[in-house]
Amino acid sequence: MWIYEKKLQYPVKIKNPNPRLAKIIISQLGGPHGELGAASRYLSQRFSMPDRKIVGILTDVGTEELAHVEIVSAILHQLTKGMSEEQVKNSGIDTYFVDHTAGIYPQAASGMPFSTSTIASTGDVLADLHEDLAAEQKARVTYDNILRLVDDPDVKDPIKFLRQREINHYQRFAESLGIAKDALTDKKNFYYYNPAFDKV
Amino acid sequence: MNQKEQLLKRLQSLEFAMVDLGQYLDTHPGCREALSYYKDLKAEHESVKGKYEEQFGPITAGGGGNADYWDWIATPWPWELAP
Repeated sequence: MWIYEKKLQYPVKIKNPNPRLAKIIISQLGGPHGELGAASRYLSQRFSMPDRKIVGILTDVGTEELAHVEIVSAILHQLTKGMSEEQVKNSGIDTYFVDHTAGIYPQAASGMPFSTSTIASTGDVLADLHEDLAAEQKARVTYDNILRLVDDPDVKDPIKFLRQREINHYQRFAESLGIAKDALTDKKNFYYYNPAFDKV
Repeated sequence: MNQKEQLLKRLQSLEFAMVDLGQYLDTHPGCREALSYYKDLKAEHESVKGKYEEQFGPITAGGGGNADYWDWIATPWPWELAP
């Protein structure tokens, strides 16, 4: 279960609405490397992990990703709240506005709706942990690209926080991969069997 | 920064430290230094959370204990900007 805390993990205080930035940043809500996918990925994968430490890290990182979904949504909300009709027409957000107005809908910047086809949960310990390491790097890349396209310091600040968290999570997943490999009976061949399914 | 913002910032800082340290402990569960630091953070977090809720309303539902009104829905949501 989860208990909601009525605060953001990191503050978001954007003074100037800017729907052009929302149109880009929405990818980190519902895009292929976004926070909603991250939460779904880790919170689903943990059930087949044989090691208690790895179940712990997937639970805690997955939970933190839910807080990141909220941070990205807060950024999008503040960037689009009170936008003028002129801004809707000229910022490029008109194709989103037509279906969602200034509501929050998880999709990629390209317009593709959020889909779990962008995550993996294979039931295989090594495949899942490699997926997680790659996922943290892909999310970091998207945040780097967002930082290249954004000039408002009020927006950059929480984006930099989220970017840094990808790096910390990568570190923890790298340790998890080490833990998983150490537990394999045949350490010379990591890929001989799936410790979550095969009986050795 | 007013008192509410200061308390909230402290609360966010403490909780962030607990989130990050908790994840470290998941992969280093026998690290005594981290365990002791986590315990200190948790104690201060509880105290700051109590202080905040008493003055400014709930962080978790029921916090602050107003006997006349369900403050959970009365105080601003975290994405709302102060007017």
